[in-house]
Amino acid sequence: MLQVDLTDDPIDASCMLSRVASKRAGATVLFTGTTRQETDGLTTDWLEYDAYEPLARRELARLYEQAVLRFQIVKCSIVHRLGKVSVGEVSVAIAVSAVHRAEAFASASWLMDRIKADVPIWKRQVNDSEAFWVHPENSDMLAKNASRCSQESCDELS
Amino acid sequence: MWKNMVESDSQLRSGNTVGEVSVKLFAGVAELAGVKELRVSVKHFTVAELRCALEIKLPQLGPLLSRSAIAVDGRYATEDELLCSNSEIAIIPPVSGG
Repeated sequence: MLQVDLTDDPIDASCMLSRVASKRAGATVLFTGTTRQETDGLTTDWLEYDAYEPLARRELARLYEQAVLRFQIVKCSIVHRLGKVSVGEVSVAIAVSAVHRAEAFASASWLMDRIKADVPIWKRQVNDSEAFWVHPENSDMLAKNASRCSQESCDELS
Repeated sequence: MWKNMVESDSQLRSGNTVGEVSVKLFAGVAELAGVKELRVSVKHFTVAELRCALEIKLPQLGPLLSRSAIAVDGRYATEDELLCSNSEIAIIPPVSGG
């Protein structure tokens, strides 16, 4: 069974919990992100998610491995929806089991922060009158590449 | 065949011959460009040069391109990384999962 996944199907929260069940765990945290009806005063009818799947799967697996090392959790499962996700439906779920609750809460929170910063998944906000891709101002990706192009490179091409 | 491909890339990098790479686009970048994939001419086959070539070829991307990362063969690449004509290249605009 995959511990990280991208899926077009609805996410089953009870399945997520069973994936991380362990006799070693004294705490289990399940986080679900859902499509909300209003964002910054704009109504949302549904979200559409797209991903660069090879890199998204690789990044999710990397975050999974980092979380296991960093927080010494027992088990972890991360699933993100793709395609249309209506208001109230789950778009992302993280389940973590750990010996104690502090590690379980901390790792789930850390994983969600990293997913929102590192994993190439995008949402398109859709309502009756408009639709637009969300590219948050605070999640510039430039740090992923070491530096910008030099002026010489641009001059050569122009 | 593989050897020929490597030699071909090497020749392209060493001289002034212009080659092409294929680039995948996503989300707002694809929407502004009007395509999900395109071919771009490059001379030195570096990520930095590709970024500049895209700025010229797709001016409508504006600041969104400069806020985007570039991935090569399924990994975030550094700006000085070398490309091959058959590299899988993707432009990664600011992400919004969750």
